[in-house]
Amino acid sequence: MKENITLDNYEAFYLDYLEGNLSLVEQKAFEVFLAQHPHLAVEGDELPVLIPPVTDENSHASPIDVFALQQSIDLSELNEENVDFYLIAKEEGLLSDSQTKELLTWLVAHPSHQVDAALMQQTRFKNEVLIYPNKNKLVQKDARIIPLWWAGAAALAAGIALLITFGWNTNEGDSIQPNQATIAQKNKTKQQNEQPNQAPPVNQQNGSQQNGAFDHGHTFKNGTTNQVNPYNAPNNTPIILPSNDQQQLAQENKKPVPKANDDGSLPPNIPAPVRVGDIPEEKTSNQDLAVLSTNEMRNPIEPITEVLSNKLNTPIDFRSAKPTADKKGGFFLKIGKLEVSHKGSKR
Amino acid sequence: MNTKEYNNAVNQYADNIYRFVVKHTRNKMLADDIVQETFAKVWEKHESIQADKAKSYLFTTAYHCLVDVMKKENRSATLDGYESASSEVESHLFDVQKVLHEALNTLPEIQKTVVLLRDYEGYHYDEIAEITNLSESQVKVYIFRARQALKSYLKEIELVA
Repeated sequence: MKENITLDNYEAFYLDYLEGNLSLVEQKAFEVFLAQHPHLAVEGDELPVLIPPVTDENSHASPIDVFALQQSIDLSELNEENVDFYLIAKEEGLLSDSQTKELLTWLVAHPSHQVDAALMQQTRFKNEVLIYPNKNKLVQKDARIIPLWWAGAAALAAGIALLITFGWNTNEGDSIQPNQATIAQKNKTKQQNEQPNQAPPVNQQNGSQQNGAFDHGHTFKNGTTNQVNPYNAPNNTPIILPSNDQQQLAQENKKPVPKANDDGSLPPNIPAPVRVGDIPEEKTSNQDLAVLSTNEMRNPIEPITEVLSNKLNTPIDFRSAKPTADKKGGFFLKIGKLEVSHKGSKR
Repeated sequence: MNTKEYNNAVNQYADNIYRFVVKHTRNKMLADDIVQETFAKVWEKHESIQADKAKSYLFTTAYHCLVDVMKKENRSATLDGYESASSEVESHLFDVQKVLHEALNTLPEIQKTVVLLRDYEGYHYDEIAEITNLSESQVKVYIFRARQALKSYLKEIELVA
């Protein structure tokens, strides 16, 4: 062991002890010293602030360590032995302006140490830019959490739609019971489709409302009724039409509506209303509408669409119809603003 | 710290963490691994970390990763790829800074750490103490020792030159 451990130099030994830089012999000696001076032992790594007086006779401590542990810096002790400490303190910004001036004055008086001062200034590492090349790998994406059951339910609905398209038996004319979540959307759709220039009513024998050429469902003079009722189901509940058909309907409604004569008869240039059954298929532009009316479709997965609508607070509707002799089948799926429809081929 | 704040921390501090680790290890590939591990650990606990503490948390984590790696690979004596990496890392530095980096590598790891945190990141003694789990007094002593050693190294080089 180079030197004995004393109250004058124990801090330096303490640091080396904590760093693991002491030899086994020194380590043992230091532990003996601590046992003899229990008031010096500290919890954790906190060194005591006690600074033993530094004298030339008994000081074996490194001046740097001793001075570094001082609470305040006093330049009255500045000399050629400890000038490094003050130079470091200056670089670390620990000197006041007056102390810095005092140090510079001392250096002017001791030019041999000016080289040390210049070298000490160069011990600071300059700001150096290093770009990390793989920053993009660290970035986290803000993923939306989609419940698995939602995805499963959507897949199930799509699968059922495909099954229906390829021949799932459905009953025609079943009453439609739209779920509560879609009523508001349907009402909105109905309002959008109501046109200000709808045909004025035409007098009928039974006193029903007058209608124009584009009939929305009423009883004709000859007692027949137009089965076409794209807007009102038997229970007078509005339905949702596919958006492309809504556009077609809107365009039809923009056509000028002829007025009825005073006696209730139609003007001569207006064709009499006809029954759907009288119209050859290829001449009817409303064939698609007739097929896709909701009273001819049913929702085979109503419990699922109801639950989904309620859970997601999004209108979800699904309807399907089997093709018949005079009508095309198909299905209609609506999830929020997404609408998917398919028209099957006739049998 | 939410995802957006975490990503901001990545953009702000990834370069600094990388520089700190590269200066220690002098090996860019190893530094890359340590940086990835650091941010992965911080991401795991990001919800419990305050955004304004992100920098100190990152450096603390990086320092601990660094210590673990250095212990594991026993790199205090030698480094794999040391020679080639050092020229690659410091090729852009001017002479004095190059010599200074050589001097840095002669320091004990703890002195290297405190000096890098002090000079590159501008941390105060108490902040460095928090990162390295030392006392403020110890940090001060280590910095003083490091500065004196660096100055002595530069003086020797000047004498040789």
